[in-house]
Amino acid sequence: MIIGAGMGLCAPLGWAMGDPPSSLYALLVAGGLTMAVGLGMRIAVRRVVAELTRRDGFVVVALGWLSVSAFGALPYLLSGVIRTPAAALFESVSGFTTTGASVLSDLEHLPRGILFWRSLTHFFGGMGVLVLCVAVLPLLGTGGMQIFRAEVTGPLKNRLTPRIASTAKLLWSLYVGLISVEAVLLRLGGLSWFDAWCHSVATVATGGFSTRTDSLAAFPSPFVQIVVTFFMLISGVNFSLHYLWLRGAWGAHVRSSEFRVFLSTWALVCLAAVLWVSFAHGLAEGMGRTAREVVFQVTSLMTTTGFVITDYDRWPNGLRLTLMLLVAVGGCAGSTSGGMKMVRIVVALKVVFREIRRAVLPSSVMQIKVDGEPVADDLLAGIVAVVLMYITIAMVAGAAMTAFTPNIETAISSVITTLSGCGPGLGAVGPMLTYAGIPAAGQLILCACMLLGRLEFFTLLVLFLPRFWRR
Amino acid sequence: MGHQLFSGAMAAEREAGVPCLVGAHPSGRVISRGYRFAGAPAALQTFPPPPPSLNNSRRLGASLRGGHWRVSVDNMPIGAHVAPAMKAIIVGAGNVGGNLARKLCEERYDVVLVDVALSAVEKAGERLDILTIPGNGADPRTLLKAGIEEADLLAAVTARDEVNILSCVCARAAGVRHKVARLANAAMLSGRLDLHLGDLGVDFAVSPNQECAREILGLIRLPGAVEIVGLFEGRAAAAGLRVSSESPLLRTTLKNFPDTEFLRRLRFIALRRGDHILTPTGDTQLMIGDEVYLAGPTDALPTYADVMMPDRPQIKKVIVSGGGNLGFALARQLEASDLETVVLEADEETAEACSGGLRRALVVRSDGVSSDALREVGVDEHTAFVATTDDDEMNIISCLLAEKSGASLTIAQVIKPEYVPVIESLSLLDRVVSTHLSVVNAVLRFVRGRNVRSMAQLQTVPGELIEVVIREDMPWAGKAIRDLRMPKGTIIACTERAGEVRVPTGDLVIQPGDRLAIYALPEMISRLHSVLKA
Repeated sequence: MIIGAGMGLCAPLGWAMGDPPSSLYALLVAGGLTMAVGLGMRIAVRRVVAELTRRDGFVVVALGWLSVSAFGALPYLLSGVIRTPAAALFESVSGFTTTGASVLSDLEHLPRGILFWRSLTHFFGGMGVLVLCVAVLPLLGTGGMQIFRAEVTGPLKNRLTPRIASTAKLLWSLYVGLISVEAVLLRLGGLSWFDAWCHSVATVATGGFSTRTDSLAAFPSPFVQIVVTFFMLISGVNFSLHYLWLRGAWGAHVRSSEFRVFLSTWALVCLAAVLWVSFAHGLAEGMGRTAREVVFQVTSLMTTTGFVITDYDRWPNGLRLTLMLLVAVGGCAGSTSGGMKMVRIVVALKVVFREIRRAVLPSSVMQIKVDGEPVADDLLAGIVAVVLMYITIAMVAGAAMTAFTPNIETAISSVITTLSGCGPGLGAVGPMLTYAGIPAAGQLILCACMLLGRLEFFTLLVLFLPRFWRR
Repeated sequence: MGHQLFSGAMAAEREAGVPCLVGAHPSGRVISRGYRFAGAPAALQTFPPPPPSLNNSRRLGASLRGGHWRVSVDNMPIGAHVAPAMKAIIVGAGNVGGNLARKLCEERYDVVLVDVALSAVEKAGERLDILTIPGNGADPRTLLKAGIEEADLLAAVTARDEVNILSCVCARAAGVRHKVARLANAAMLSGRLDLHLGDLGVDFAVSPNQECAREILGLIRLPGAVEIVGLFEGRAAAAGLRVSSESPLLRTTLKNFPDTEFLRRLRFIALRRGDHILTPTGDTQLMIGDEVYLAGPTDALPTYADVMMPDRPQIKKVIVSGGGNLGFALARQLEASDLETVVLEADEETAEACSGGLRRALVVRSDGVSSDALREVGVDEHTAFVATTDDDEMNIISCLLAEKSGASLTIAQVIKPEYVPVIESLSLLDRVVSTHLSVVNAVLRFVRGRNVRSMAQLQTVPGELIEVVIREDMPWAGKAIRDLRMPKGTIIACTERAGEVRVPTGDLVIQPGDRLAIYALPEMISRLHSVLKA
């Protein structure tokens, strides 16, 4: 019954997916197929009561993502753009999880429908496919809350309004609003409407799929680079802060400690990277251009967008490692970016500090706070667990990936960058290369990493808990 | 003894049809109503007019008449409370707050639930589509966080009167239109010290004990009834009656019942058989133990009861177990009627306080589960036993014991909602009441108190009785009942025109000014509202 409900929810997704305005036969067939399956499910489970428990929320979201990814792979396969199922799945998962890792090269010669489909997967995945359903479909009621909890990222799922549906609506309209503003700015910057749309979606969803093989390097205009940098940065910040700001709480961002840490880390790393790169490579291209490119690249990785403007793989080793660590950390909770999220790192560090102090002063009491609010113990445990899980999976999957990659650097970086939903890594999956060279098994491991990272582990992992399936 | 002010939700609803504060004599007799109250008797002038600063209360939807707060009933569009923007803040996430939150949520309110206990709000937030804020509901900072500036309603229903009042004070400062407080302490409601609730920003106060006691009294007056709800200021009533083995209706279908006059004067609105809720039709055959919900003019009510339960008991004596807040409130109301009242209270101090506050009632020091005590005070077929202690299990057991000893009507207060289905399926007691549910019902009645007002949420069948005043601009005006497009699951129970209550036939043409009592299943209520509007 629960599975039925989960699949039933895929029906609207089927609609959404069957919708891309494309001249492509493949897209139509894929859309039609998805729609048919969705409707079939819908009819089959019509009688299911939509009163979702917490567990159902997990099932719906996990199965929803799995099936959406599977159906999302159909257009690539049917159009013949990608030949192996594993690679097609990889591309689809990478799109929905807004990773932006691609197996495709020579994008300029691909049909526009496929490029548009890639960008559309970003669009739906960015704020959450099922959160969109919660926002648009009235049928869920209380169930929406469970879905929201399972799909939205970050440890504190703060609701903006009493009704979950209106919160979801707000987040989505904010998201679409940002995309539109950026698209208009990019159009002004000289991009075609098509390129402007695809890149805005890829920016605000912190995805990273471009329409050009050279990614953003294909548009050398400083204006475009600055616009994209700015929107990447914004998209790496908790959307609730933006909402509050729009509502007139001008200090919302400054009051958030997560934002402060995020911004200062960003500023610090940017400054250090600009100096570092300048010293290492000299200023042959001029200070302004180097600074712009370095800042763009750091922002792109830190917000887990994954746009590439310069080959950062040629930067000094220390900087390369720093960048990968930034990818692992990711942006703020409640944003479209991936990674462990700033607030978790802050809290985890505070826990570490508390333990150090307790080692010396065992009777000392230290309440861990975020923005002046104490963090409850179970929440604390959850936060630490996510950080631990991230590291564990990065190591285990990294070890597994060594079987499919030429060196350890590639293996570890490919896992980190997919777990965080970033895209480009180091070595053989570096900024100038694609994932086409990775064997099918390796691609599937990375698919799993992307889904795990996007759904923040628990939503997917509970499915493997035997007790979870027992009545 | 001063005059008490207590929430008049149920009585006032019946008598005045408007939620209001009611001045009452300590005896429990309602001596004045807040509705269209022209000149206050001298005795009521204990409540001075409000200070000038309160004159902006008109903006808050309340006005002062004759020394009483009442909420104006004018100029609110029909169905306005289902408009999407309505926002309610509930302070207190206990039993009352949780239930209220669910109900308001169903009525499309945006609900924010506030409570000091983090676990309580989290639990509620898990089940309901609401925003939960941990924090003290009397703290302006918490209330600001809950968005009090945009709230239309604040219901402070914690167990602590002080917190509730403070919340209302804050809410008034923030300009919230409707402020409701749960106030257990009747003394706090009294008009001494020139203090009255309006000053504190409380538009409507609910006393759980008074509210619940009134409900119990209604049940004792018509024993055997599962539930009685007054409609149209008491001129009509809906009653849930249990069909006894002696009922003449058992031998026939409703269609073939010989006494057609009887059928013409009432309407069957719902039928509960075990766990099933049925809609009665002409072919329905009643069975022993069925609970039949009927509506019709009040004067016909005993007639229904005679037909359903020819062997129903006549209550002459009431034994109240527990002299705490509820027991005491009930005993005082019982004293005002001509029923013999006995209060059983084990605790010496409570018993003495009880005896001090009562005039005629007999107070006996004993707990409810002592058969000796029951024998001493005497239990016979004219005795009702009401268990009102705070201990659910004790209440249930003592009622069972009383029934064994021969009491013909047993009523127990049961707070834990989990117990109620068990009690009902085992038919352990005649009736279960709860102060918590009484508060929820009273607040809901207040909240809905406009052109469309719900008179009651029925407790044993899922459904509500909603009163609609027909206005000229409503689509139903001028139409015959058989031409109306009634949503499924709604029934027009009875109508009132110029003080005359009738059970309508399909021929009746609805005119502006008519009032309709409509029975509606909960999920149909918003549908009904839109049908009325569109």
